[in-house]
Amino acid sequence: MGADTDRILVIPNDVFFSRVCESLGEGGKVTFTVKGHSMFPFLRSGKDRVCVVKPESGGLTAGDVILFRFRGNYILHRIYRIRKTPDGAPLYVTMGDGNTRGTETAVPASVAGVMVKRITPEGREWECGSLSWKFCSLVWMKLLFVRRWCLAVLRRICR
Amino acid sequence: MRISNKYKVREMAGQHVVIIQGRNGEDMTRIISLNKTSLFLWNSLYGKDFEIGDVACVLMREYGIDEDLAMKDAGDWCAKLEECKLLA
Repeated sequence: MGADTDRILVIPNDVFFSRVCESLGEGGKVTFTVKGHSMFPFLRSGKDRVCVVKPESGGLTAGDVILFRFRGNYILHRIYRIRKTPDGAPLYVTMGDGNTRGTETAVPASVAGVMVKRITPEGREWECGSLSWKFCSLVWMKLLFVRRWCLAVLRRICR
Repeated sequence: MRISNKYKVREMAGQHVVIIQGRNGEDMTRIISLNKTSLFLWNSLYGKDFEIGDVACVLMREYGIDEDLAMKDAGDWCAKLEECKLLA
């Protein structure tokens, strides 16, 4: 064991999430701290932790926050729409809650996990299955056309 | 004492680490990094019941150090395992 007990180990995205995916594939739950501002205000970079599990097949709906592989990197973003591919399989169109433009797409095979809980640094937990989470998510998704201004205000308040 | 079988050493980014199991599954925010000696002790003693003296024997056999130093290092290692709650 290292002599220093509070060292921060920075691990490349693909290495870290390969390990996470391995655990999720074995049916486990994994908790990690989010990095990046693309899911603000729901997830704050370096502060909030998320608990992720393997999704049930066909169980994903719009509003779910998924961990998926996109262009070689793993991303945790929200499903905004579900389209169908020509062969009838679902195609998830995702976007970060802190983004005002730009979407990604994911097919079920590229989805490694679905977020079930947010944990604040104080240890307060917010279940994604709760009414309050679902309500706030829905409102945030619907307010996309004024999100730019909402984000500007929230960033000032939360700073 | 015995190392809890809940924990497994994984290799990540060139480091040997033990990931803590919390209430919310594997807690990737709390991982313990093992150095070379600690990894050797872990591999030698995992799955076995042991005392500080057994750890010291492993150290003496592997590194050829004297008993006093081995007992001290073994005691430190076991205390660290306990502090990190890795013992069953």
